[in-house]
Amino acid sequence: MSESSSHTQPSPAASAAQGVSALLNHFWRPALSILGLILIVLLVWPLLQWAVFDAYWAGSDGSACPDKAGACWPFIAERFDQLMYGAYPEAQRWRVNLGLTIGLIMMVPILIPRIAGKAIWVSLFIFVYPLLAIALFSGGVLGLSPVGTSSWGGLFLTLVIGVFAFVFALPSGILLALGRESRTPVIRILAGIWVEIWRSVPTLVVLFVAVIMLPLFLPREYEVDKLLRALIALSILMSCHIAEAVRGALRALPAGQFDATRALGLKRSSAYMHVILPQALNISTPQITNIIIGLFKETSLLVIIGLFDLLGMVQAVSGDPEWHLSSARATGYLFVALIYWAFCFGLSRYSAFLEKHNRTPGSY
Amino acid sequence: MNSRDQSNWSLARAWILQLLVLLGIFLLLAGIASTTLENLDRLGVQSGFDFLEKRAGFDINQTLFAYSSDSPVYMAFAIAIANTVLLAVLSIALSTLIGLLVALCRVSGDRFFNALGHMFIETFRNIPALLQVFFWYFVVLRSLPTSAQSWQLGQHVFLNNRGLFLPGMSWSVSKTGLIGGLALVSVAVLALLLRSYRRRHPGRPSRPAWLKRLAAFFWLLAAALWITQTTAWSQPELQKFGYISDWVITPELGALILGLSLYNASSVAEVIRAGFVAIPKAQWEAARSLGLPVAAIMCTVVVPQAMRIIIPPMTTVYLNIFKATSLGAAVGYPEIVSVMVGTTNNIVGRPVEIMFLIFAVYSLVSLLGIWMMGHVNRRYNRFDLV
Repeated sequence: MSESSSHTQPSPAASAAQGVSALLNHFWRPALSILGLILIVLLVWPLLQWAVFDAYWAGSDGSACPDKAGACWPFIAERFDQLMYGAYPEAQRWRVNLGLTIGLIMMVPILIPRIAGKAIWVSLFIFVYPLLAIALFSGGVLGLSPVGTSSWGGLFLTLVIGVFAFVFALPSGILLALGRESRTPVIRILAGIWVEIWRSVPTLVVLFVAVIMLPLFLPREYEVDKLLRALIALSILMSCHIAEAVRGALRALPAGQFDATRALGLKRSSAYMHVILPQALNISTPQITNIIIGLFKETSLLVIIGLFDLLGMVQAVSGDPEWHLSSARATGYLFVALIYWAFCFGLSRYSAFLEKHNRTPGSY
Repeated sequence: MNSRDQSNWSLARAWILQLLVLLGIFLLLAGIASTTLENLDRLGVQSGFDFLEKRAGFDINQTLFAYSSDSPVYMAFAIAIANTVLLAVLSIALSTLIGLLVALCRVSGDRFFNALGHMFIETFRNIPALLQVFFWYFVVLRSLPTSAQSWQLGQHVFLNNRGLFLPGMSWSVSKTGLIGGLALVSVAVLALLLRSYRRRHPGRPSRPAWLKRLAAFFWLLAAALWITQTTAWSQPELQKFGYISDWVITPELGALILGLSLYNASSVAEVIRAGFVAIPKAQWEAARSLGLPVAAIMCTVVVPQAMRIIIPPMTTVYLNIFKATSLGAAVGYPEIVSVMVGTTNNIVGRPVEIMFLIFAVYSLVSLLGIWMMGHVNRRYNRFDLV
């Protein structure tokens, strides 16, 4: 290959892309293109055939579709409520819908860069929304009947864990980042050890620490709910990741910013509050979005510690003797994969949009 | 108050603050320790690492070296670490291979290949790794044929729903074999020493290139001969309960390798792509104006520079793959978390000690990874004159 490509004329503007493409000369390029096309057809066509053309659409129980055949969509239709809400009582599901909708509406001003007063919206979301959501979801106040967390499940549980872990992790992550940049050696070292220890172990281990160790650490009067334990674990882990993102942004700020605050005679604390942190948070927003995507995917690990998150719910309902079909299970996986994919892809597009937005001058 | 007093005061304040923080942390830790001891006492849990010496009492379905349920617990731990490392190494190798191919597609400058690479990345990185592992384990590998109807790949490889059965390999080194092996190694070491000596003392007449190549050829021939003479291959055998072989990729291992590799290949691809894109155009232009062929530009100009950008984030990706091996606990692959937390803790009931060991292993691997990254990175930064 190198022999033939050495005869090609050096182009005036060679870039990395053109350099590599020069490796693919006139013979290899069409050959490889055809190979790639064949590969796509070989992979995508059977999937499409399985999920759409050979699929079973009608029916309401396990007899609707044979085992080891095309996709079994009646399974999703029948178990849709469970996949969304878990065992949350049917009459009370409006509370879930309401709570999540309020959350979504409160997120809008945070997500749109043009809307001013981000600090107010974010603090509303972090300090007010959780109280409202807890009151709605678990009840016991305002005349709402109590619903135990053991009956929470499905996409609802995944979203609750994701949102709440983030709500706890953002403030603590910022504090940890400031701690790691602190002038005080003791605080700097302690924050560093804390962050690095949690970051060096797998998420699953952190979850097991919370499930197995947390009850040992607390006096026996405090019984911590399993969901709360998982939430604590994911919050700790996520705050460490956020701390690293924010610290990176703090480091990336030009030194002139610090100097300018000194020249203005600002105190260190107000310099951080009004000059340094707002910029650092702005820079690190795309990365924090990526951390949220990671967290959302990590919530699937909750099935291992016995919580019925979205993936856990599929495992649970496809273990049901009525739907004990490999086609039903596969359809369940495809369905939740599409949900995860839509969330993560949407968020990653948003993160890319923010990055572009931040790069354009005068955006903040 | 003059400025000197002020700075003295702020210094004193800093010291007091640090002491208070330390005191607070100490009190917190002491409180946690005392409640933990109290709780353990109440639950009748003993403490100490003596359980490591005791009989394990459970079987492990994948053992890379001798182990039985009569072995001590520390052997079970060692087996689990070996299994974790095996899974991590295989997943890292496969994800690097796939990631490299996808990255080449992305930088190929060809619209079709770019779209192909993009599609791959966006598909696999937006679906949780565990879901992908479940898909391979519960859907794909479960639907493989049974032992009786195994697919035969080539002559001695069999694939069925119990796993991929490969010919086993074992080394048996005789006395002459040992001497031969030592001779081979010492010749190689001598040649390398000689080479580095000549590099440090240029100007001495060098041996002709063809002689070196001939010597290298004969050395490789001898090494190949040595390997074929000392290894014995054992074929998978069909027995009453299915195939038996020394080397089996179990469905658990297979599903984890496939799931982790495809999931992480997208990160690998993005890291490699970023490395290539960061090489300034002028580097290509300069190399081209020197008349270098493309392959030489790649090997001597682009890749060495790209490596400097690639290595730090790649270390993170590799460490993430190592950590992700803990997903084995979800499908019953005997890696560290499933053996230690899932099995050992249920039997011996020493949660604190076991968690300590797990943290120690993972932190050590992280430190090792970071140290190795520094080492390799220094190698590539050797020629940096800026």
